[in-house]
Amino acid sequence: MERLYLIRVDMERFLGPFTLKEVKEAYLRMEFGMQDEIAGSLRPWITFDDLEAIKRHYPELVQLVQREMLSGWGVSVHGQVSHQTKVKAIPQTSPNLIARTLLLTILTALIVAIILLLREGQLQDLLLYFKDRNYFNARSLYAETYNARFESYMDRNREAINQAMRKKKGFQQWLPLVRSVAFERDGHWEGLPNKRLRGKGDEEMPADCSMGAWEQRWLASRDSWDRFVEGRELPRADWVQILTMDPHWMKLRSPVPGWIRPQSYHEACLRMALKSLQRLPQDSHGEAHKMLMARMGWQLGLLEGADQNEHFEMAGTLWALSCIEDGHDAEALPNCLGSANLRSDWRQWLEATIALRRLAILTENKRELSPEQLALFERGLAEAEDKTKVLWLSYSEELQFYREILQQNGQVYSALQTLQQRFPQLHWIP
Amino acid sequence: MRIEMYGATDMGRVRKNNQDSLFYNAEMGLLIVADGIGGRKAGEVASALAVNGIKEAYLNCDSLRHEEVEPFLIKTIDQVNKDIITKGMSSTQMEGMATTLNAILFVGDKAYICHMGDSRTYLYQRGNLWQLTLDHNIENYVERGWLPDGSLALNPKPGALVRALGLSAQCEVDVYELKLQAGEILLTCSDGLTGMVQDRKLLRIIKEYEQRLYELPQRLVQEANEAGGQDNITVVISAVARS
Repeated sequence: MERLYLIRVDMERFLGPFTLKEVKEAYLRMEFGMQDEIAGSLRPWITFDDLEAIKRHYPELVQLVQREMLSGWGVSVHGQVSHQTKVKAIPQTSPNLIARTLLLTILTALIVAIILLLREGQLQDLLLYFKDRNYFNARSLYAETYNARFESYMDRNREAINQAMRKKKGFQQWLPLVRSVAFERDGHWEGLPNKRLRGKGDEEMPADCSMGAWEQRWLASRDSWDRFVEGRELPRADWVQILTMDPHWMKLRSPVPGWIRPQSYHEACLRMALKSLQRLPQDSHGEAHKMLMARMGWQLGLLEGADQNEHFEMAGTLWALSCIEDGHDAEALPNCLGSANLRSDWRQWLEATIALRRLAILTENKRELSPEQLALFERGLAEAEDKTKVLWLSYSEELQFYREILQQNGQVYSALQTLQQRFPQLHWIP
Repeated sequence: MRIEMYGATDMGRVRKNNQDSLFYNAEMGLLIVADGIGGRKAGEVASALAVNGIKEAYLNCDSLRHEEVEPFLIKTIDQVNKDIITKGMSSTQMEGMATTLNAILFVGDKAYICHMGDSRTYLYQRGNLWQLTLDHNIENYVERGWLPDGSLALNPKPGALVRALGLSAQCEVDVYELKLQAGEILLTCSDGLTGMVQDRKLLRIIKEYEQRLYELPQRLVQEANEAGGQDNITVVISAVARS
């Protein structure tokens, strides 16, 4: 009986079961691409562009992938020369001394040039230029920051970029640049589903953070804004998640690999949420509307390390949150709660935020803690471990850092170094 | 396309209660398997909420066209997720309850498979077996590069779930579309079966019982119990009848 294969396309639908011949035919009909997966009966799912895994698990498919799929993408896989060229044999009896010297000189010059390029870090660029000229151009245009010429280049080459992104490597290469354009505008990149724009790893965040999606969220939640600001309601909703997001938490994790500007999906969502709210008319909910915008402006300001002295028009819970995040005096943090009559879930939330902020203040800019400070810190940590369970973001890394300080008997800087090694993707040491 | 369905659920040999819930109705073209997450309180409440929530939503909706199926399922499951979280917050006994979900809705010649967690759906055709759903656990996420390599060091249980109903306000369910062919069999089950019986053995048993599918769920439950029955076991078989 012939072997059968199933193909999983875009992690959304299945094709088959197919025989090998039918797999080829389906590919020629462009029913699936390199980024899709294939599996035989009781065998693992492998993406077509993982040639090593294909060779290991499905050697019978190697020919299809190399001959049909890879060559279709412009990758040469033919090792043989298609025609032979007659070459005159060089007489070996009398080596031409001048020619050899010349060759040696050229080789030496080439080696020196490569060393110089390597020193300047330009060899990578040169290789990139020959590998993917579009990407080289886009990256050169982006240079240090986002600009109009870069954006228009990305626009002009959208189709080629989308085609390059159908391969795993191309996808990873282009994604940061594509994200920067998408979130500079409205949170969309034509030809790329929002889920893929977001990527994996941020699944607690909304799959669609485009301005259109935010407009719908804001319109649908209008009637709850006042109660939210007054501390009478803390609904589990995307808009609440954005407004309560802790900028210190985001800062520690930014830039996230795969993001350049914005530096994370959290920041991207925050920017789109603010931009969308700014465009909505301020009618009967004018006051709350302004406060929500002010809160998001505050979060972005803190994230960017901007001077926060400007006046932010906030009140109630939003003011309390921002006050805690801005606090530099551990004793004064409870004052941020004010005298508002908060519902218990809001009170628990703010108390958890205070507990975490207090630990941050106690360790800020310190190499080590004195025995008195350490005792205070230990009590604070026990409180934070208990209280932070109500928060939606996971502070697991922060709590590990604080536990490490305790383990190292108050040696803050040494604990920082330990955690930096443990979580190299986080930015413990500025 | 006519679908036949057969199911069974069993407490297993170790657990003191059955936290799995299931529903199947061939006439409606709907089956749901939910496994209340062990180690959490009130897993059985969470799994029952998931099953009843989806069933009720489907009973209350008008006929669905193909393009309406996925949005309907996503919206319904999102609502069920919210309900589980809200219920969990209402009492300390149920705080943090969660459940896996595997549900299949048959519409025309297609099956829409909804999946969160580590309950599974397999496809059987002509002596071949494929696991259609990807277990949403740390091990798989790290292997696919969706979580950083260090994640396994942080959580010593590679099978710990990353996604399930009730775990997070943001509910992201996998919805797969499968075009059906006559003679195909779908096996949907909780990890009480797959944790005890290897895929190769599953295939052998399905082959053996291909002509008497009505006996298959009970036979698979028996196999899991004979292998130790460490967890609750739920199995639903849906078969596309040959015309």
